[in-house]
Amino acid sequence: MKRFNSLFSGVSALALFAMMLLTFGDVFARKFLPNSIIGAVELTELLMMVMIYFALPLASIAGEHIVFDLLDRVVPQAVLRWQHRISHAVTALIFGGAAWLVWMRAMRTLGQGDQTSALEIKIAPYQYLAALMLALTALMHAWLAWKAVAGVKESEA
Amino acid sequence: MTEGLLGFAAMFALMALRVPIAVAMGIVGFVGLGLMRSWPAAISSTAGEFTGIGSYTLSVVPLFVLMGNFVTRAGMSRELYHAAYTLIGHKRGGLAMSTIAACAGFGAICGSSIATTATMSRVAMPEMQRFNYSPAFAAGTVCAGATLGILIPPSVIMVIYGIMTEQSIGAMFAAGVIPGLLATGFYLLASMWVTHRHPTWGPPGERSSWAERFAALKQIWGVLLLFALVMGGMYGGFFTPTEAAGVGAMGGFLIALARRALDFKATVQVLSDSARTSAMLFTIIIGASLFANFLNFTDLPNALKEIVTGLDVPPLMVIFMICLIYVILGTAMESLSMMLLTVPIFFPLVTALGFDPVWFGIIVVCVIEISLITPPVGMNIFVLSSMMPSLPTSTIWRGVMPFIVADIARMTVLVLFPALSLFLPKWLGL
Repeated sequence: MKRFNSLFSGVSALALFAMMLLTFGDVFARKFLPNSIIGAVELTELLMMVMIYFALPLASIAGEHIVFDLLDRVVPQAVLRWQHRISHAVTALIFGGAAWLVWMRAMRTLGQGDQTSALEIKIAPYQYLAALMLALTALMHAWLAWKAVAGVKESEA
Repeated sequence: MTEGLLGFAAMFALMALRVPIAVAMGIVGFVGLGLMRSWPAAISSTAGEFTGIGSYTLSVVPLFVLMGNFVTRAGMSRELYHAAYTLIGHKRGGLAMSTIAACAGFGAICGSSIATTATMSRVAMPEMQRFNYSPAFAAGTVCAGATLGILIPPSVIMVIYGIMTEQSIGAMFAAGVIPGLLATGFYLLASMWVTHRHPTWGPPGERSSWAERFAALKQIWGVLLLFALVMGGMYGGFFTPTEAAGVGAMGGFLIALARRALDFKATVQVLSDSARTSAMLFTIIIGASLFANFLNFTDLPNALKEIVTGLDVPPLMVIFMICLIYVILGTAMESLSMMLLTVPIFFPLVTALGFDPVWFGIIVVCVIEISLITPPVGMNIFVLSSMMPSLPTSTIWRGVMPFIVADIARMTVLVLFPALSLFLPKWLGL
């Protein structure tokens, strides 16, 4: 779990750092050098996909999604545990559904052979990545639901 | 109308189950769209939302989040506070006023209230405790001052409003400047009023010499430079908001490096925290746009428009009603989700009544600021109480009250005088 965590944080951190350097470098090159970085815009777009989708399972596991928890303090512990089970199960299903939709979209993109305009990078792999990460996020929520069933106290609570 | 209300009911039911708000909005939007329009359309627009994250314009969000996290890490809040303290600390309630001024300064380089609360509570609270400030007053000052972070540009909340309503982010930022200064002024007045009523709550600090003042002011050049670079670059026509965010993040990174606040591990930490926050923000943005898509197919926004215009009340009255609804909702709801949930309904109404969308954005940001400090659910209160576990929440609640009054007064002024928000963007030709 720890390895998984540092791998995923590492990749998303690297992608964000690259986005920062790229945006800065692009502005700098345009102002002070003869021309801007070719394909900076489309690279940023692909890095966005990598950064967000590698970070998504981490945000889920860290319990960083905003929930309506105003009633937590008044709801009895047993009910709260049920809420955790049901909400994580529902969330898992929904992320799983989203993963499936994005997977279908990625198959279509692959079929059409879409690529970025300047650097001609294939777009489909990035959409597959998004689908896989959404599926992984769904698994994370399924795991959190199972933990609630097993009665393990949740770290986010 | 019925479909829209049913959609809201379903979403609230899911929220009550503790399903993340983003997910609740998304699934209701998806199912609603499927039922009202067609399933292929719902599938296509949902997949489009998820793959649409790979967008250059949207990269402005993570980059501004990153800039805020770097400058927070750099610890510039300490110098800002110290500079303000040398100037006004010797007055009655001077430490509280210094806190507010430092929050405003920090807000100018960081667009997040949570980060501002966290960093200012570390810097300002111990000082105020040292001078025997009333704990309630001290806590209220930090919580309220930190809300300035989202009104004074750059601001992540304004970027999200701009994305949702297709308003220029540059115009939103420019519109926030004067209201931000006004808000700072109102908070200073509120703290002066508190210490006027209860002189023992905020004893004066030590007077600094002019030499000390100049020395302290010299320490905050980094903040000034970064703000000048980001805002100046944007309005001087050197770069777009997205580029400004990239340059700002780079500037924050370099300043944090220069101050030796970053090693490899800390850098990865800041980057990955920013990435996770962005992932969370985008989940909400996706959920909210699916929900807004669905709402547009119901006639709820139109029905509301007709009901309101049928009432034949002055448009200004409608705005005040909306503000009142926001203030009430804000006591119980988390701020960002409140904005994303309500803007799709109120925005068409407000623009149909002839109000300026940028001005309404500023009003929305102001009501969000209020919601950050109104009990029982106020994010800044939560952050402060997690930083200061010994401080009872009820004490913080008591402390923020005068500032909530100041907020409501300021909001009234901004509603009555739209020029305060719109003058700067107009003057800059945005």
